[in-house]
Amino acid sequence: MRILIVEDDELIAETLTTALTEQHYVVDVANNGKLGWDFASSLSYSLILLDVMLPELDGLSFCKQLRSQGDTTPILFMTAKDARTNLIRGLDAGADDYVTKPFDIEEILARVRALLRRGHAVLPPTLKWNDLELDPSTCVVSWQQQPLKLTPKEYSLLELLLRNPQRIYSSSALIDHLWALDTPPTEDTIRSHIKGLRHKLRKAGITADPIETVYGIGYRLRTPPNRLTLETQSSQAPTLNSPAFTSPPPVFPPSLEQPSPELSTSLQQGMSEIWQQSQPQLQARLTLLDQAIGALRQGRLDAELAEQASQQAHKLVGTLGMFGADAGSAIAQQVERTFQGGWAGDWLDQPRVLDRLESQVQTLRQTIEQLTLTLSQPSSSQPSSSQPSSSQPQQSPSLTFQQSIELEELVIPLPQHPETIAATVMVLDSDGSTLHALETLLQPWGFQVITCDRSEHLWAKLQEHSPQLLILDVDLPQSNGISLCQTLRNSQQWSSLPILFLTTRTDAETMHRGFAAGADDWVSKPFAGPELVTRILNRLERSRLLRSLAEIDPLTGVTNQRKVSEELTKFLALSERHNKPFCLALLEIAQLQDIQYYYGSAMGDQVLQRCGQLLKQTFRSEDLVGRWGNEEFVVGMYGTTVMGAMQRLLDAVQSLHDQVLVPEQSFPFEVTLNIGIATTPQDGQTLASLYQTAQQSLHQNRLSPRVRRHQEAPVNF
Amino acid sequence: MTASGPQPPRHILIIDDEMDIQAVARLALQTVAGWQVTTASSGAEGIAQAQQLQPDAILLDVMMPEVDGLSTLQQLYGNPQTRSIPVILMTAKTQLPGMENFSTLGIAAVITKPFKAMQLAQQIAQALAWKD
Repeated sequence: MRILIVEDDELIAETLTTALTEQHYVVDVANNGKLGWDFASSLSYSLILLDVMLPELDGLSFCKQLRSQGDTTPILFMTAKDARTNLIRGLDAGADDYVTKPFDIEEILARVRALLRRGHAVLPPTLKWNDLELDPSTCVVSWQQQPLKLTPKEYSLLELLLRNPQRIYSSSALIDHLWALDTPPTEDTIRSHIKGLRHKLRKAGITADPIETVYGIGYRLRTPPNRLTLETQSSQAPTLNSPAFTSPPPVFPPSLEQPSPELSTSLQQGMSEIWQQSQPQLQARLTLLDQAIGALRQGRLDAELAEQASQQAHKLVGTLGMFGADAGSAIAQQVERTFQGGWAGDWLDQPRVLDRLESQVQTLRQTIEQLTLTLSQPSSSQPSSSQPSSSQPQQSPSLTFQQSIELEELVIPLPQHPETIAATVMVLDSDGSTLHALETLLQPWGFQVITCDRSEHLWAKLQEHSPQLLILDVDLPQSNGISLCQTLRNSQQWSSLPILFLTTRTDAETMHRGFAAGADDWVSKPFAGPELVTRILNRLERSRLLRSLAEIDPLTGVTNQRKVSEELTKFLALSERHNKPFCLALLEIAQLQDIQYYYGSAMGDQVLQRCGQLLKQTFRSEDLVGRWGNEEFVVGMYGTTVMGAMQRLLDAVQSLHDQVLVPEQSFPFEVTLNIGIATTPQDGQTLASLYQTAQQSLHQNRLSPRVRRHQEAPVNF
Repeated sequence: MTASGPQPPRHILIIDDEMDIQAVARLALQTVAGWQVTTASSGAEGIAQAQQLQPDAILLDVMMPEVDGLSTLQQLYGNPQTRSIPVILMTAKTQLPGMENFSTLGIAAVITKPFKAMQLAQQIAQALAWKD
């Protein structure tokens, strides 16, 4: 539940925020009427707490304005005790209730609960789903009268779903409702909260999962078992679900699951016509992309053209995807991102990026040509999905490409740079021909495919190959894919390995069990090649992003120790192989402990943060910068001599030194860095020996500071 | 409860500035589900039609030039004549994470583009809990 407080008195706003947050509401505060208006018109709130006397836009006008737009968000007015006229005018302006200042927090909370109930007129004071009960006044959730222990977020999730039994919430909608503006989490965080909640509900003995995953859209409250019989007696049934209960007879043709021949033919004809009509537009989009690339090659691509190119690529993503060319759609998306993100950075000029862009646009052009060819042919094929497509004669018969009207099987452009997506994918499937087909399909994309046909070999093979993704079948001879998935999730080593089910089982119950066991994605057999590849790529991209988060030291923004030592070791091997020098520098913030002691740990953190930023700015992107210990940073420089390295280090030391820190109520101080350096091959070829030498050199420098102080204009921060 | 008897087919209003997407969505909903479909190429046109035709649901593209999807949505919800019509937003998959500013405006669902013609009607019906 999201609540907006519009109040210019900071103390009151803060007290309210604390009290409401304790009750697990998400609270936004606006300290003037205009800001409050902006909040209210861009986000949806369950309730607004509104002060009457406000700068910019007063409470009465706020209220009138909101109501005149037809907005019925409940408003609780806050007014001074003696201002009776204000109160009456407030209610006339459309407020729902009022409290007088100074107020009792308990009273406000009770009124908030009352108003939230009123918003959904028929909901009882406690929210119920079968024997699951949530009491908003005590924040207690119980199942058959046994209280459950939920985290605040799990509680809020459940409350939101129970309060809005009709609505589907996408992950981003959940973020909007349940997280404050400054700390939005990722979709994966949402998934794990949902997972945690489901787990606890299951553990409490609830057999039917109250949360339904609407695949590809979001989550919603499942219709409780026996709900109809339960609720026909209660007063809530008609209002809760009236559109469904009064629904007209089905207009879905019964053939929706298995499209009838006539239907798919007419749809295909229609699609073909639309495709023909959109040809000029598609060609114009390609031409614009060509222009942008040409301009880029000549170094005169401006922001406007880059923006246009990105937009056109964006439209191609939609169109190609809609006509079934998923792989082409994915490529268009890469082009979109390149133009979108690359404009700001100078890396766009690099020939490698240019070449890739060109070949991507070329692939798009081919994709469009191929689609035109296929779509213009009268459909002669049987619309049965069990027949192998005639356009894929080389495939083994068991890998039946889905012959759908979406034409997905028709276009499989190969990637131009397979080396960029190299990843190890492991497949566990008892069917040898599926394994073979997957090998054939995935290898051209640069995947190393490890096949495994017996589940008892799985663990040994996982250890041996450390795959980045696992494809599992549900039905295995000796075991069950879902319980395997569960076991993997519970193991420490494989708990975050992306797992994709590839199976003939498509019933909701099995899919549900798979996702509950921790599956990341679900693809049904017979599968469409491009779809599978796209899904694998998406999955890998996500897990890479997550991993990169785990590799960064959150305070300083540089690589953490584990990651940087891994990288350093890699580069050391490279330096030995290519006979290139490699320098390792150690930087220590002098007297960090004293700073933390005298000025507080927050100031210590600020110093560390600033230092991390500076190091990142000072060194080249190919240098390795990492945080090593509390006050220590390391920098690895490949192909650089000691002299060159020293110069860059001194620059960093100097810029840090130039910054004067002014702690509150104290004297400004400056930060000094002690540095030590070591290089290959003189100081050894291993990380340990380099580190040791660098540390010794640092100790010496500590005694005789190498860097003299230069007084320049101080920069405060 | 409404009177029993045959009901007119569902009526969907599609607001999208891209002609090909408009065309495919229209085709998909008409052919697959048998629904009645009206299309509008701009937010302003969409709002006018929603007011006049009172469709059962509105399928609204987020990214449109001039009056974009969001302001259209706000205007639809701000108008007493259109505020009770459920709205489904269509957005590119890549834009989902950036949606925190508007996906809470009371919309019924989000459908990501590219969508599949075969599944569009089903997704809409599912999102609105239409049992038909």
